[in-house]
Amino acid sequence: MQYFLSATLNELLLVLDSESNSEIIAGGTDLVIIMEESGKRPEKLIDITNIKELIGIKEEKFGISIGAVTTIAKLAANNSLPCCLRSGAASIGSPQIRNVGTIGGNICNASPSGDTLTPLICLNADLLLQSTKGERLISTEQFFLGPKKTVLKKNEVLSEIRIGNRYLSGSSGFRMIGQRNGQVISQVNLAVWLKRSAESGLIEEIRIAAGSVAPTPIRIIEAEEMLCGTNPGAKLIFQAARSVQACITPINDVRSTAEYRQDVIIGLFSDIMSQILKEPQSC
Amino acid sequence: MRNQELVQVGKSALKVDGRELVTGKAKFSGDFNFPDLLHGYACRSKIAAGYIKDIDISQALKVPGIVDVVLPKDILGGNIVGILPPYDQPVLADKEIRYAGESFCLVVGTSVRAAKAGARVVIATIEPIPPILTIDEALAKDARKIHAAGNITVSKKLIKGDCAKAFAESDVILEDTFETSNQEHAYLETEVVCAVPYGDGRITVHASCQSPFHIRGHIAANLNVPVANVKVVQAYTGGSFGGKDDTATEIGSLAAVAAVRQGKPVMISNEREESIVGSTLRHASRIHYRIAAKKDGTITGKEIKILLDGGAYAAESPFVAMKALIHSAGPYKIDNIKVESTALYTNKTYCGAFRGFGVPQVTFASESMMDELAKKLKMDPLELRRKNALKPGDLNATSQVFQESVGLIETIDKVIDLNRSYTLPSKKQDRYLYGTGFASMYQGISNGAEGIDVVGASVQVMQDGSALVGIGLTELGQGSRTVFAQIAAEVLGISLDKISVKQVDTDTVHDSGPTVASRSTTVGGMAVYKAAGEVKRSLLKMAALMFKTEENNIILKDNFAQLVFDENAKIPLNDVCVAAYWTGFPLMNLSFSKAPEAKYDQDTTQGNIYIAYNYGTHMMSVRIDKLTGEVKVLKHLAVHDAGKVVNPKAFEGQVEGASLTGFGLAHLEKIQYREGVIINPNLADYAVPTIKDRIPSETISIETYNPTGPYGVKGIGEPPVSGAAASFANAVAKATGIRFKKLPITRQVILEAINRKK
Repeated sequence: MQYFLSATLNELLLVLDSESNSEIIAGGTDLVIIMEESGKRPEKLIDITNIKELIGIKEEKFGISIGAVTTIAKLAANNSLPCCLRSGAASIGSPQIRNVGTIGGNICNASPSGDTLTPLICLNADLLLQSTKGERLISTEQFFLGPKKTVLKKNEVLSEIRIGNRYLSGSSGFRMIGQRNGQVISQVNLAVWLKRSAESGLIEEIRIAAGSVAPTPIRIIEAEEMLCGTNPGAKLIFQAARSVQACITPINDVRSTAEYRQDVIIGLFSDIMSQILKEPQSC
Repeated sequence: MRNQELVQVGKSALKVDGRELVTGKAKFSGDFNFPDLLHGYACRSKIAAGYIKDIDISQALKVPGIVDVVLPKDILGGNIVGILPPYDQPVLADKEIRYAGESFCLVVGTSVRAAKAGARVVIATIEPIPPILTIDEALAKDARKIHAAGNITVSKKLIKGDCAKAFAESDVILEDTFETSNQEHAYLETEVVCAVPYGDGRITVHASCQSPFHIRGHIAANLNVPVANVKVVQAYTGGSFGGKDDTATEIGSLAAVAAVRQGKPVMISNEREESIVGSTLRHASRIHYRIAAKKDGTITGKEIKILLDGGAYAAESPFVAMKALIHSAGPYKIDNIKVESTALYTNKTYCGAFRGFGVPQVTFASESMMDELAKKLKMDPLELRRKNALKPGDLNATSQVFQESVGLIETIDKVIDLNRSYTLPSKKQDRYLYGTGFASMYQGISNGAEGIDVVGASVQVMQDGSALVGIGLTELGQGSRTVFAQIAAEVLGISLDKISVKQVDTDTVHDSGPTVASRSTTVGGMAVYKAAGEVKRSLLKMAALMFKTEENNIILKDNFAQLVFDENAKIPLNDVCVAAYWTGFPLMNLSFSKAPEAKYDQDTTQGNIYIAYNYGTHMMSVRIDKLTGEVKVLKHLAVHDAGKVVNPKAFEGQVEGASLTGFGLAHLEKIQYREGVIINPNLADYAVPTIKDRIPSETISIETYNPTGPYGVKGIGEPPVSGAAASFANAVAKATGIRFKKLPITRQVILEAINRKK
C-alpha cells in the first residue's frame, strides 16, 4: 500500500485520476475500522487532511460553504450553522472521534445512520463533486444510493458542502436516539427545517429527513405536505408524526428492532416540532 | 480490635498508586518493550461448532516478519486450561471447535501487524456441525454432546426444611420465570501478557491479570516444567472484574510456549473484539421461581430452578452455579427452601467470573418476586422485606447462623427513612412515568464453598522507619493496595506515606489463591494485620529496652514509640528500627490468614459456608419517557452493611462502580448472537455505560462489627451489582405497571411493552 499526502486539491484530483485502486482517507474513523476488519488495503491511500482549501466554514454570497475536510467538532461548535446540523454533528461518537472525523467522511461513508446526513438533506444542501474532468453540484438528497453507496465516481472527490441563504434563515432541529446516552450510533435520527411566514406565522416551507430507517437517509414529503401552510397544533403534529412513521421502512439489526424504530420516531418528531415551534432560538 | 481507637482505618485515604496512574507513569503489560520482542496473534474460528480437519500454515510462514506458528501439538504440556475440574478447555483447539472465536493457532511475528497478516493467510479446514446455542437445545434428550460427559457442566442442590409441606400449607403461591443475558466485562485495558525468557533458566510472565498463581500453574503445566521455574509478575491492571482470571491463564500459557520456542520475549495483547468473543462473559440464565407465603407476609417456602448458560467450557461455571444456588433465596429467614442450580454447555463464548458471580442473576429473580408478592398481599414492599429479613441468630438458606454483623434490617430502615424525605415528581405530566423500586440482597464474603481460603502477606520494616508490604492478592483498581497500606500503618503506628505495597510477584509471596469473592480486605487484610503485628512485637520489645520499661507501657503512633502514660516521652520509630536491627530482632515477617473452613453437606448444601455476608438494600427512582422508552435515574440509594469501612472514599468508588455494572446489566448491555457468532463485539454496538450514562448513586454504609475480619471489616467489591440491577427492574415495573422478566430492560424493550399494553 502506498500512502499519498496531497497538499492541494489539484494534486489530489491528479492522483485520483491516475490511480485506479485508491481510497481517500481523512479522519479515518470509519475507513480504518473497515480496513482492519477486512484485512484488505487499497493500493493507494490518499490522505487529504493537509489540503487547506478543503478545510473550514466560509460565508459566501449564496450562503455558507463547508469544506469537506472540516472536522465534526468544528461543525458542532460553529454558531453560524443551523441548529440541526450543529446538533447532528454534536451527537456523533466521542470527543476524540469528533476531533478527527470530518463532514466529508460522514457523507461519503453513506451510513444510513450518519448524523449529519439528515440535517444536510433538510437544509437542502448541495454537494460539490470535483474531478480533473470538471465539477458537478448535486443535492444531498440525490447523493445516496444505498448503505455505503453513493453517486460519487472513482475519480471524484467531495470537496464542498453548500447551504443556501434561504435555509440558513428559518429554524431547524435534530433529534436522535441510541442504545445509551454517550458515544452512541443512532437507532433513528430525524432532522426538520422550516420557515414560517413573517406575516401569518404559517409554515411556508418545511423539510423533514429521517435516518437509519431505510437504506439511505430519506425525505418525508407526505408529512411536509401535511404541515405546509399550517400553524400546527399538537393534534396535527401527531398526525404528521404518524405519516412520518408510515413512510419509513426500517429493519431489525444489531442496534434496534424495526418495531422500536417505528415506535420511537413519533416521539422524536414531536420533540423536534415542539422545540422549533416553541423555542426556535433555543439551539 | 473491637472498640479500638483507630488512626488510619476508617479515614479516607488517597490511592497509594493514584499518582502513577493519573500521570501515566504506571507500567502496564503492553508498555513492556524489548529489542527482540515478538508479538503473537491468534487465529480464531469464525463458526460456532466444527471439526478441525486441517490447519495449513505454509502461506503464513512466508509472510515477512513471521517467525513461528504455534499449533496445539507444539504445546508440550497438557494443552489444557481450566481453574477447576473438569479441566475441559484446550489452550488451542485441537480437534473440535466449540465456540466462534476459539483460537486454534498462534502466529508469531516481529510486529503485531506482521502477526495479523500471517494469521489472515492461515487456511483452516473446519467441517461445520450444527451448533447448540440455547439452554433448551443443550438439554434436549437427543442433543449432541459438546463434551464427552454431556451438556451438563454441574448440577447442585440446596435443600432446607420441607418445601412440599410449606407450599401445601401456604395462603399464597406465586410462580414465574426470569432470564438474564450475557454481560461483557469491558475493562479499559484488554487482556495483555508479555512472556520473557530472561536467560535465568526460567520463564517470567508480566501479566494484566487477576490471579497470578493460577497463571503460574497453567504455564508450568503447558510448558511441562516445574512450577518453580515460572515467575508471574502482575503489571498494573486496568480493570478485571473477574474477566482476567481464566483468560489470562490461556494467553499467558500461549505466550510462554511461544517465548520458550523462540528464546525471545513474546507479547499477546487482545484486541477489543478478541476481549469480547475470546474471553469470559457473565452467565446468561433462566430462573424458575416459586414462592409460598402466609397472608401476613411471612415467606414459608421457596422452590427455585436455576439454569446457567455457561458456553463452551466449564471455566468457573461450577463455582458460579454454587454461588447462585446459595444466594437464590435472598437475604431472608425462610424455613423451607429447595433449589437446583445447573450450569450447561452451549457452543458460545465460555462464561466465568464476573463481579457478583451468579448473585446478580438470582437476585433479580428473587427481588422481582418479592415485589410481586408485596403487590399480591397489598403490603409495602419494604415492610415485606423487613418482616422476612435475616437477623443475628437466624438460620440463613444454608442454615448458617451469624450471631453478629447481620445489618440487613438497618439497611432497610435507612432506606425507609431516606425515602420518606424524597418525593417523586408529580405524575400529572403525561409524557413521563415515574416509579421507585427497592431491592435487598446479600453476598457471601470469602471463597466459602469454593475451597480453602488462605492469604500470605509479608511486612518488612526498614531502618528508616518505613515499611514494605507484600501480599498475594492483586490490585485491580479496587484500591486493595491502599487498604493493605492503611492496615499496616494502623498496626505499626507508621504514617501512610512511609508504607509501600508491592505488586504481586509469585516469587516473593505465598500463593494466596485468586483475588475473588470480595475477600481481599477481609482475608488479605487479616494476613497483613498479623504480619505487621509480628514486626510490631520486635519494635515494642526494642522500645521497651530503650525506655527501660515493660512492652505494654508502649504504643506505636505517628512514627514514634511513646509511653502510654506520657505522650511527651517518645522515641522516633526509625531510631527504634535501627536499634532493633543492630540488636538482631526480626524486622520482617510472613504471616498467613486462613478463613474458617466451609463445612457443609454436599447433597443439601446445608452448613457453614462463608465467613461473613455483606447485606444491602437499594432504592432507585426512575423517570420513563413514554414516547422513547428512555430511562432517567433520578435517585439511587445504595445502603450496605460491609462491616467496618477501611477507606470510605474507596468504598464509595466501589459502590458506584459496581452499581453502574448492575445498571448496565439491567438496562443497557446485551451480547447478541447470530448463529452463535457475536455480532456486537465492539463498544459502539455493545452498550456498556459511558460517563454520560452514570447514575446518581448515593453510598451509605451501615457499619457492623464482623469478628472474622481485621477491625471488623467485610467486603464491598461485588455486592452492589445485584442491588442496583434488581432495584432498577423493580423501579421500571413500578413506573410502567409492567413486570419485565428478562434483562436487559432496554429503552426498546420498555417502549415496545408500553405500546403493546395500550
